Amino acid sequence: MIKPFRINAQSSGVRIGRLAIVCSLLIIATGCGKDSDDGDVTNTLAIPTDIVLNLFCDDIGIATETCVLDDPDNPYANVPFATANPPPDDEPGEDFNRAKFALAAAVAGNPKATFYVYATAQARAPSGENQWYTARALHELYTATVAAAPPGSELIREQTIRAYRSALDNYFDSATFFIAGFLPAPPPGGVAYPVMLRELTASDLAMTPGAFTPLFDPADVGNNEFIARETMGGWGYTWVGMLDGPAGPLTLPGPVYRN
Amino acid sequence: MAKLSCVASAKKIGGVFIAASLMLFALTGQAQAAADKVTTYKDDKGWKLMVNGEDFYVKGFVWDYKPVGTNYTYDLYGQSEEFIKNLIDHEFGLMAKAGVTATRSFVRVPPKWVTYIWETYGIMTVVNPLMGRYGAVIDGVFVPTTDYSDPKTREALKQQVLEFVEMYKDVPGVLMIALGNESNYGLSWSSFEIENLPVGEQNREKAKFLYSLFDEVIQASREVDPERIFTIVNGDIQYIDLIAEYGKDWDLIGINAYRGISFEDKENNVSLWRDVKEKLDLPIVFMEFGSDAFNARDFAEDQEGQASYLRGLWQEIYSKSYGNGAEGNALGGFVFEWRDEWWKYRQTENLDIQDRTASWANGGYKFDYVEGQNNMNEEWFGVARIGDLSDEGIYLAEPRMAYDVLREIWRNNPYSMGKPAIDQAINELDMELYSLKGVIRELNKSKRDSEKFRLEGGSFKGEYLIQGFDEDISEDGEDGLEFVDGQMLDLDFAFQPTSRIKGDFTINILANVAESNFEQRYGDRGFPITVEKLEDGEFGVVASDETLEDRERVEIYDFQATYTADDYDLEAFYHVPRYHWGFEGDFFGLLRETTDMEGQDIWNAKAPYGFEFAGKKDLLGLKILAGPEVYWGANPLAMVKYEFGGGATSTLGQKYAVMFSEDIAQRSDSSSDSEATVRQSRQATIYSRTDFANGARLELGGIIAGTEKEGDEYDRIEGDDIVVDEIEFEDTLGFKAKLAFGPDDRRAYVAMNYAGLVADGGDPLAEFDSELPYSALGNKQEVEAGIMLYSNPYMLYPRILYRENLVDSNPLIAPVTVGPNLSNGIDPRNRDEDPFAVLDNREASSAEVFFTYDPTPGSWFYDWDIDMKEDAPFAFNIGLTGTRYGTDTDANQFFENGVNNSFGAGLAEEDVWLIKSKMIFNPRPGLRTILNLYTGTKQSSGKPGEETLEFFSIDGKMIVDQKHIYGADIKVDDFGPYDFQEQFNLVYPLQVKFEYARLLDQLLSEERSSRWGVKFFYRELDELSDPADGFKDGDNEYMMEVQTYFELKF
Repeated sequence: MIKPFRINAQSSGVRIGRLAIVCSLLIIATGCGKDSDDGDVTNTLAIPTDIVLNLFCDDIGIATETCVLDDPDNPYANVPFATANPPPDDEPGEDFNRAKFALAAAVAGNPKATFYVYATAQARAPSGENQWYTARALHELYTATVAAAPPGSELIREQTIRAYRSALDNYFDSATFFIAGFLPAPPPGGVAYPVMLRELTASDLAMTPGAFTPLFDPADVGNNEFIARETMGGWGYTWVGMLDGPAGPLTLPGPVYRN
Repeated sequence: MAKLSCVASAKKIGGVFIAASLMLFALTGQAQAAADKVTTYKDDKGWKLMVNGEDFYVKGFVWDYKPVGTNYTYDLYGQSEEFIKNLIDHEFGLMAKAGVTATRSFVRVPPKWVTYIWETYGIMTVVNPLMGRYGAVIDGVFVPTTDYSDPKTREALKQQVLEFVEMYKDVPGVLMIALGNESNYGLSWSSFEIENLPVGEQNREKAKFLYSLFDEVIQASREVDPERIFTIVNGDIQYIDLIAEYGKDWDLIGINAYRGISFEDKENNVSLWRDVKEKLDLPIVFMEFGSDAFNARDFAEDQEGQASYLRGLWQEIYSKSYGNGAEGNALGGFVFEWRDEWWKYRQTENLDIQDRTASWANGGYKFDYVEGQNNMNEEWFGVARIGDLSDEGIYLAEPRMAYDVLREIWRNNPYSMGKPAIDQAINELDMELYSLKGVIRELNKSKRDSEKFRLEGGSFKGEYLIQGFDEDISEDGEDGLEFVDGQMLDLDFAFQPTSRIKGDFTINILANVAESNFEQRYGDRGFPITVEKLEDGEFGVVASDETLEDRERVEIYDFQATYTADDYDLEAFYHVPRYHWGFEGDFFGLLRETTDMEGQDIWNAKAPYGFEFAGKKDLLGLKILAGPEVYWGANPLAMVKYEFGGGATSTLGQKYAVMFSEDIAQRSDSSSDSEATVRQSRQATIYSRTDFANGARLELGGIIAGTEKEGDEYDRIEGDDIVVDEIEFEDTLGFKAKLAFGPDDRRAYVAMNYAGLVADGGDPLAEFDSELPYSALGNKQEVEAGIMLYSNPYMLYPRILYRENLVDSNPLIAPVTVGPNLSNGIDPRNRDEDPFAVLDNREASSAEVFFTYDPTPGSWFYDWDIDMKEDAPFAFNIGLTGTRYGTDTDANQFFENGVNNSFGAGLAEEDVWLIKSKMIFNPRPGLRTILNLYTGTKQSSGKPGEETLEFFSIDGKMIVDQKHIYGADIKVDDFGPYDFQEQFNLVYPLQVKFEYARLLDQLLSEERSSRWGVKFFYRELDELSDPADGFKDGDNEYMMEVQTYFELKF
């Protein structure tokens, strides 16, 4: 069977269609290309050196909140660096892989910048390690505010506690790796050993690292431990306490249980 | 002795009996071998056709058999004798009951079957050499457009017909030999002299060559077989003056005519009968006429419409027969056609679906004609529908109402009844009764069809796997082998709660699940998994691992349901194959095709999943699609398309389409093992297609995509500077144009594509096995061109593609802190953290050339199912594609632990090449071999590798007598078979797979047959292989597995 050809008379729909095509071509023709002078040259960024932290959002630096990536004070928001420890095989380049700790080390003593490094890592790749380091940076920042103007920033103190709690609530089974620097003759590259982050977190809250200000009772370390244990209990955790390690000088935080 | 004598006598008598029987058989055979004498007779009352001296009236059908899922390339007579006989017994048994006296077939019915049909059913056959109508082999080369003026062509066609005539000379059952098929509609060759004539006269001059050749061939044929009747198959009575000039002494004239319910137009004083009588004075046999059984206006099957038109036509044919007082030149005809053919619309697509698209218009069929709309439905002309598949593998014919009406009409003898009696008999036909009979047949056809819910069938598969690793076998010998078994049951159900709602679904049930070390397989969902179990302990909650067995033993494998309303169809679908809209105005490929169900099954993916609204009547052209995953990997989305202008029906003129797609959310899980999910987005497109009368086609399209990304920042390198920019409106725009010349299968084209940074489209349409590096992503300016050089049986197809990016990929520059400042660095983008990324859309200069040898272009070598369709003894292609990737890419991503992850670095700039070849062998009926070879260099699709891969692979399949299937697949230095292995650069030195399957229902297709089989896998391992396979620094250098299975289909 042969199919006869047929051409329909142009309807108004056809004319509209043709007009739409022509209009779109004009729009595209006038908009083509990406000029080389578009955009802003941004080769360097200023690193904050102050200790005033305006929380860009309530949960900045905590769990999966990513507002730190939009924080205009955060110089690391768009800076590429590896976020895991150790970085996965897929992430390239030694410089890149070391960047999280390298960047933090480069701003050692600048707790606000350190906070932005780890909070950025946490926002990009939420993990127990990034969360704990973020909490630690906040803790250091709180200590700096106490030193600058006692009793320090209550806002930062509370945010520090929230960040530590997040490490327990959200990353209870996470670990980090430390280099065993206490070994008398470590091999090249050192020996890495894992530590449970929940135990480091509990220790930080209750025992407080030497240079940091206790979070619950700045004036009384013993009372701070008591309040910290009680507070953690209220969150649903029991911390056994500090243990002597098998290798003499090593003291390890004891296990933490969920109640 | 007496006994022996008796035995000897008996033997002697028996011998005489056998000898006599053989002689009688031989004599009978000789008598049967004589051809029937067919003549025409004429006196004052008109013309008659006579067979062996008795009146004969042609009451018949155009007959052909094309199973669901096949098209014009299906070779019925390449099937087994048993199958052919079963089919003929079914078809001609039904036709004989209706009173059919003859059939006409487009394919050559072998002489033995012509005779079988005649002797068994009393039905004669019109042998119909097409004589170059759809191309011809001239000097061993297939010429697609026949030039009837070419002396060489004329001689070749003549010789071909004479061979036919010789072949059928003494064959009982041949009614006549008819030449061509509407050949007057195919006068499209070019020649210098003719092209200089005014357009209106060009074809007339060409027609002279056609009709003079017809006459020349007929005269020569008469010399070969003087007793035979010869005619032609003319398209209506076009060029009747030429026929009168060249066909003065032809026996009769064969005509295909579709004029509606009559061959006359009394209002305008037009009569086919009168014209033929006055100008030709030859009797007429209608080689085709009829009506479709689909009402395009109501968009529903219309048995009454078809039956009433056929009644009217036959009443007129009878009244114009011998002795009825009118022209008396009607000898009968062949209704087009016996059964529906589901391949006719678009011919290579949707072959398992009866398309309801009206593809041309004919005002003669007033029961569904609407001015300006098409009303002829090519796939609905059957007097019988295509029914269920029988146990013998035959799609049964299900008669429509027209069958009953014709059966009643054909009881009458037009030569002897006289016109009043004929009119009375036909006028008194109670059409309502036949309509009711049709309804009752529907109800009685099969009780199960009217059941609201029924079990349709299913399959059971049992398997047994033997597995081993080098390390275990070396240490423990046979004890190092492991044995696992599995069982799976599928049950297919159908439902039809109302006449407008119907559907089906499959339930999958697992027993044991056999885990293969080589294959990801459907059913793996049932593997045990380990979960963390929390319990109260002395010091609080204690976590422990627990293994869950017997998981997900039952699931719905697929589901579809359709609601048919007057103005629309609504279809719900879940994991059933669906096609793209690339030929319906989706120029940018937004709706991707989902047909790889097996590929999905291994990940237990369930796309496509959603519903579709398809408008009809006033809403024709409107489609709405929405769902959680309307194609594999899709975000939950809604999509609207409206096609207008020439619509889906015109072959010339303009077509337009507008389309809008909006993601509703981002999917939360990978669609496979580790394919990254895609950010939520939206796209809108417009499209215009213009088909010119000279065969050229211009397609234009515009796209706006990713407008939600406007304002998003991205960085790039400009010289030594890092520049931060943001997405603007112009970055969301794209434009695409394609200009093509020539018919679809041999065209030249040029195309360009501009796409702004975020103007991502969908799947580009890669045609003719092209390996050009197309990309769906934006950020590109692209030009492409190709020209198909065709000299049958050879085809050379060179194509080139060049692409540049508007913005290049980013390098990795690590950040550095310098005093109070941070040198912030830059890294490769990825599609989650950046508004766009340079991935497979990277800069490319690519060229390719394909060479094809296919002596039977009817089975187009680049059809998707050519492996099983190619009918040439040998056909092959070989293609070379070379691509220079001049830049690195940004970072690809993978999905793991519930989120997308970046590979962090891009693929390096590289030159890659690929040679691939397909070879198909059909040395004899029942033996088919397909080979595919690939070699070249390639990169990973995700994780950067240190070296570009140089690989070689060959796979093949041999099918013997529809019983035995042998398969082999060998890969050297190639990725594993799954996408994730290419994504993660997992390479094996050697991979081998051999398989054998024995089909148990040899008359059924490979897909439908029960079978048993065995597969053997072997794989060498090294440090580049998947770590999960456990190379263990050389302790495991290989792994192997044997799978045996039995699959019962019912």
